[in-house]
Amino acid sequence: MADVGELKDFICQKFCENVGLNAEELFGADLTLAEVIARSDRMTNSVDLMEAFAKSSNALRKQYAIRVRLPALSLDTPISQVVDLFVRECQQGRPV
Amino acid sequence: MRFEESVLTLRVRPNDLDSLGHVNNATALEYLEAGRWAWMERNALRKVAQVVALTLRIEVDYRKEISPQEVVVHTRLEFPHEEELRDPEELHYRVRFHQQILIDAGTRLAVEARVQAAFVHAQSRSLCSLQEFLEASRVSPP
Repeated sequence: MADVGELKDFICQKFCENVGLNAEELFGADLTLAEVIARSDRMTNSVDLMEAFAKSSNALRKQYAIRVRLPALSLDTPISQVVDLFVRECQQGRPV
Repeated sequence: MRFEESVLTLRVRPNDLDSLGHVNNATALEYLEAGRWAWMERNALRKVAQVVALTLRIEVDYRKEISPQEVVVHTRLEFPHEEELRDPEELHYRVRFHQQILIDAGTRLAVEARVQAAFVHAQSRSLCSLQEFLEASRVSPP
């Protein structure tokens, strides 16, 4: 399995691609999920956000053969916490 | 996984008409909703209490007026695409239907719509995936 740093970079890159914000905008101020929806031109509601996380999860599965479960997240959750959660899920190693 | 297009025929009711004698715009939305229920039935999916489908967005083009007659509602799943549905592990949290209401014995397009829906667990009100919805709603073979 890839090391944690590589996985974290991959997850951050996929989050940026799928929410339509660059890394500085997304992680610089550690936006909450509500702020991500407000700032991204692609996002209207929490379903858009879940779709973005699902695409990131699907990418992880294709690239590293790791399955990540997506938990229910409140809109005041900071994006860094979501990244940590994805990394933890990867470390728990639910292979496809 | 493949889903079939559904075709539903409805008769316009007198109370569907507005003062100009044609179907009220809001009533066309009811026809579209009936079309989506027909799509569920066509694809052996039933309404269940645990997981609920919610309408997120409706885009409608009203093209022709609908006078009292039979109308035909066509409903097909437009997103996720068939090839995306082939991978059972691929998660989706949204679906989009393409719907048409046809008049004059199904020969003329009166209404065209794109409808997005998502799914929630009824009890927790948390979002759930298309896969969870399908798992809960699929009618078991007898």
